[in-house]
Amino acid sequence: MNPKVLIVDDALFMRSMIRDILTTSGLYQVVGEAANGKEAVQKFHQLQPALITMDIVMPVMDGIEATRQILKLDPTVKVVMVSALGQEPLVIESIAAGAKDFIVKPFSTEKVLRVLGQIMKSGSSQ
Amino acid sequence: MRDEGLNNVQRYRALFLQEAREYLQLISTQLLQLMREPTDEVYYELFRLSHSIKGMAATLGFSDVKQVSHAMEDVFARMKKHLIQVDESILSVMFGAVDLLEIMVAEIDASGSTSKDVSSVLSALNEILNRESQSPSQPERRQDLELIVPEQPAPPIPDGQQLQETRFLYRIDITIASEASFPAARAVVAYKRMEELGKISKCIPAFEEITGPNFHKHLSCYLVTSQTAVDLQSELRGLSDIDAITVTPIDPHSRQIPAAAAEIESTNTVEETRPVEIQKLATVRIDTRSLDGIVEGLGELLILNAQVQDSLPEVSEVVRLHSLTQKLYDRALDLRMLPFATLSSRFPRVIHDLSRQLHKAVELKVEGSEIKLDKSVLDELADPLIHLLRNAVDHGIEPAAFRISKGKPETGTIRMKVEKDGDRVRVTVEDDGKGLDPVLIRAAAIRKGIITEKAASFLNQHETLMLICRPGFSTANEVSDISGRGVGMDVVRDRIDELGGSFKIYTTPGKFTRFELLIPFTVAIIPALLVRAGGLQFAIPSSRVDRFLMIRRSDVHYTQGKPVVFYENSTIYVEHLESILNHRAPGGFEEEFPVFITEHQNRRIAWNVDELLEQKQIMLKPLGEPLGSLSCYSGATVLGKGEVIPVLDMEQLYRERLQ
Repeated sequence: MNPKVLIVDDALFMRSMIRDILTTSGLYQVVGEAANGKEAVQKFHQLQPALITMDIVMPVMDGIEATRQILKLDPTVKVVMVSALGQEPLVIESIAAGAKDFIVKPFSTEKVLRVLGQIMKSGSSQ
Repeated sequence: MRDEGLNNVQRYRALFLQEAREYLQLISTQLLQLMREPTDEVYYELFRLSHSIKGMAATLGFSDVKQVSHAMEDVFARMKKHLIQVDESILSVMFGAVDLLEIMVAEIDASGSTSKDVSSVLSALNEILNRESQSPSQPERRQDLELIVPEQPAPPIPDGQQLQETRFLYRIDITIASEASFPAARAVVAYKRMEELGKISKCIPAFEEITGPNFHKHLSCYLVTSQTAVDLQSELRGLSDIDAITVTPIDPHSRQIPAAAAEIESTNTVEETRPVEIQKLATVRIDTRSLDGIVEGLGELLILNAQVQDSLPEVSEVVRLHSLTQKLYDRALDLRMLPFATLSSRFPRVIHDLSRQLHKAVELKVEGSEIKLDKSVLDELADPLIHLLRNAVDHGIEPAAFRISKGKPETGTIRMKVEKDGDRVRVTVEDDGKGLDPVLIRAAAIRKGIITEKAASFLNQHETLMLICRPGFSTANEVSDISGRGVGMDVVRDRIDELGGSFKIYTTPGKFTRFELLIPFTVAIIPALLVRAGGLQFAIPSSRVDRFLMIRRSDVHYTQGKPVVFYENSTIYVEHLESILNHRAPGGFEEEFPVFITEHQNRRIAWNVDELLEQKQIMLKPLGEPLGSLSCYSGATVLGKGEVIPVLDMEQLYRERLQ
């Protein structure tokens, strides 16, 4: 069974792009999308994904706070931040909050799949 | 396209166009909001929206759109951190940038690309950013550091014991790829990954320094772990953006280990004594709530001290303790005092925008902006004052042509004056506009059912003017976007009441309108009148008490069955405080009885009490639930001997029980 992924980003554009990359790879099962941090926490409850791609700057609740809340619920879920250029301090804060890794926009398919693949692998060996 | 995996370019572009348009529209709305009321939420929204546009544009390779939105994002980010003072010129650059992006998006929609020249907008945006960078960049860096809240690296291995259990000590060298987008974040990920694999006993640079200027994409860590070198290698190989990783085992059975550990420890100590950047800063920003906690604590100490002084009046140490506590308390209160300018600096923009919107020429003059008030008082004053300014521009100042025909200067003037008046501050807002007409106000109030014709006939001029503070009142014939239908003047009055202030209106039709606010400097400790009513003590904030007197029964008259006295050319209604509080029918009056007088919207009340006790400074403490819902009490105070005395909210009491 491919790992379940939740995609969190306020831009439909970004969500679609990540969904396409993951679906096309045949390695992941995208189970849902959320447009802000609060929705992400709710969707996490419902869908129990193993992996979350998380935008940082979003309305209502940002990705860092969402990551904190989700990891409090389940510390084993893997969160990968999706960041734009110029957001390094926020990325570092996210990692301090428990995110496993990050991807910088604009990203390539190959990069996304490599980072996510690594995350899933590191989890299985523990 | 930089990525062959993106197959459905058309669809992405359509999404981009749709979302970018929507976001640009929102940015415009938020910029307008910024002109009216710049809040942190507005800054965040602006930042977020331009950030999103940048992300989409970068992904689709519209580099000009990306550049412009990126620069906008940078400007908003600095606004968010209050590193840029927003002014007219900045707003017009931002609006210009939005306009440009809208055109670019339209071009992309029509032809798939844009050839718009972005250089002038970019240089205007960069000029704003450079303006900021002339100020010291320290605060921004500090914020980044604060943001991280790094965990302390694990302490060096304490003794050989632990080493024997964990068995392996490695030195791991990691070089971050030169092309990595976020090398520091990459290093943090690597650090966290190693931390998952074992215990880091030392790291060069230290974890906190990864985000600092001394990080040069290289990390050397000593890791204590049960993993083998091969396992470590393969675990860490998977990290992204890494150029090289070497794992060097340090022989666990060698005598060198404790030495190595000791060396680690000693160098660590040296590094830790290095002064942290934050220590160099001469000022600290603290949460006002912690400050409130200190003020409250000192206030309690002061009261406790008064109790001790009562029982040990002769002890000189107690007296000294009191003066010391008083000094500390005053100093703590002083920390919360900010110049009025922190508030009034927002006003010129408000006036500017309104006068433009309404095509009126208005000048604002602020006097006394150096006078300091308690931060919470300033916060509470912001909305009422902005409302008064809006009213002045909207309803007060006449159009230029009209002013000229009346022989007035073409440009209207609004004067805001702040001055000390004893233990209070007087803030006046005066415009040289058309003034308020009591006849029109009275007529409008009757028409709107705010007051009956008969009741209105009893009102004096000031009471008539105060009718504009009734909910739903407006004399403007047309509804205006600016100050609405008088919505707000009631809110203004309520706010001032809550502050324990008073509110008066003076006007001469055709000449001026002046709103006068008399408010306390601070809210934590207030002067109060202590009274006894029905055998119980109550405190009334002195700011609410007009005066107190003794009244003879023979001076009491009755109109419509209600007891009144005539005093200073006005009719004052006499009420028993105790019977009003307890919903009891009033008793008669003593031969001579004490009252204190309060003033409400359109009437003055003389409150009959058993005894007027004393005037003193009290600390107003809010009532907790469930007592907090008793709205006629604004709080409670503890007196020197420990008695808890309720503090009455006379305005609320009047409204609930008498209006």
